[in-house]
Amino acid sequence: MATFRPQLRRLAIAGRTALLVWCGLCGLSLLGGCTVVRPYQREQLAERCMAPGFGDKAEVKFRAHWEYARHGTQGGFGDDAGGGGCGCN
Amino acid sequence: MQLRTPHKTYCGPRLRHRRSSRTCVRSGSSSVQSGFLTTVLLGVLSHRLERVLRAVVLWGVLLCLGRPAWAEHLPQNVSGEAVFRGSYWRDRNTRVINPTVDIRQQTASGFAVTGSYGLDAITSASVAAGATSDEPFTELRHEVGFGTEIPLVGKSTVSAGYGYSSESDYFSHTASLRAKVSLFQENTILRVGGDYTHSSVGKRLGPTGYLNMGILHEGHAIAGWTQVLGRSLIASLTYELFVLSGYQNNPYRPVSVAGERREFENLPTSRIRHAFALSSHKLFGLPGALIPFVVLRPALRVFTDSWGVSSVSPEVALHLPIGPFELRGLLGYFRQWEASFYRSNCGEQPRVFPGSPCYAERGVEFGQTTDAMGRTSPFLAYTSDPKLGSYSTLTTELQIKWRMTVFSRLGPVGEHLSRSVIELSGGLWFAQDAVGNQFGIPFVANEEVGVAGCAAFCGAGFAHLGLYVPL
Repeated sequence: MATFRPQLRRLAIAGRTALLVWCGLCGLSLLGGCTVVRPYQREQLAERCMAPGFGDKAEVKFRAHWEYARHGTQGGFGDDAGGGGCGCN
Repeated sequence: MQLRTPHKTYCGPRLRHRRSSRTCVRSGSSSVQSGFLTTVLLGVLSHRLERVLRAVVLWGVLLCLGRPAWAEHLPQNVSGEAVFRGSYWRDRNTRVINPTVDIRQQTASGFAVTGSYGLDAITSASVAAGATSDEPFTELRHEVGFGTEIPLVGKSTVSAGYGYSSESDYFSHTASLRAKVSLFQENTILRVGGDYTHSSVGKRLGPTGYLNMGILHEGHAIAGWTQVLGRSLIASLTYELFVLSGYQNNPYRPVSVAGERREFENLPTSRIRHAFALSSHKLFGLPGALIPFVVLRPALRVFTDSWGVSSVSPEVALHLPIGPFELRGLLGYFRQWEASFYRSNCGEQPRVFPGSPCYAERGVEFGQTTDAMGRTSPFLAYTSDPKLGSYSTLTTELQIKWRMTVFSRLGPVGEHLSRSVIELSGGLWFAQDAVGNQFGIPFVANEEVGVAGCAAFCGAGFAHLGLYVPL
């Protein structure tokens, strides 16, 4: 088993902090009565740039691909990053 | 010169109300008649110049006033859209030209079909990146895909897709299934899905020879939660699980192990990856019509896997509509910690950049392996991939999109064109350490050059040109 390294500990702290912040935000939204935005109140939410990846699936796909080819990690770009193949050398 | 009786003033057909000494000619004067043609010609030219200037000023005024209709920004194109995109990537070893086309068509009932094609023209000159010599070679990768989306109750949908990727030494089939559940008047959207990818990995042995190295199975599961937190605030949380089993080596990269040169790396055959992504979109309304709002999108990606690789990647993007244009800026930071079997402990070696993978011992014990006789022994892992090391990168990108609303008054064709969008973007990717040396172009002259190329301020550049056309 790999030893527990300081870097991993830092990552764990950062991840835990992020999750705590996230859970806090979600909890606040729940305390607010699960804010329900009616369809006629969605003018701003309906903007294309409010969609994941600003609504540009092709851009997200390309970025996911080159990051996969140049980083040792994968994922985190959501549904729009699908696709197989290497092209990674 | 003294002018005699000034009868009337001629300032050209559109300049009667302006008396300019440059263009106005007083008729009835004999001393002026000799240069009449020249003066009229100058007047006409000046008139045209003024028309152009007037048009420019008019455009500027309209842009500054920002008509409300221009604040609609990018079209939704819900019925369908074709996206033509050309991408360019350039680093020290590799140049990639990547034209793609993505088409989506949706019926009134919500049934949608999608299709895509992409070409990767990869030109590489690096031995470490796959070449057997320093002569550049170009490899083509074709990728096609199609899918369908079926509406369910409410806004919920289920979708399925298939993709195939082919290059000279790597062939992949991918099947995917997704479900999207919309709850609470679309205030909560849950997404679940999975992919399976089957890849055949080979090694080229010259122009015609080919050696099959192995099969890689990859399962991918995704679960996402998108929550509306207000009229202008939306947030998403995504978790992804990747389970890989099979051949994961790069058959072209040699590695130095205990003073010997091994033909290629020896990586474990199984790998489990976890990726978490958090992001939110916040729209800030502005009082002016020129810039009606600004969208801020902070995001965070956290990654860890069974090889010990972990990373954290925060980024922020800003979206700014200005009249028929949209500007976007992105700044992303990426920090990665190395795999538990990554080593760079050979000391100073000629032609080996500090931090590059190199093994003084015979490898790193990583789990167990079983031979044909059923005997177990420690698996010795070693890699030659600097991307499995510790390093950090920085990504910057600027993008401009132009909605072609100027054509809206040109009939049906013009109306169609007015919903089209042209995109131009470009960015720089900065990398340090062994990865920067491996892939980076020196951005600053006279810097200290590393063993193979670049030691600091290294990276790559990329650019895109896109066209979004409604169907």
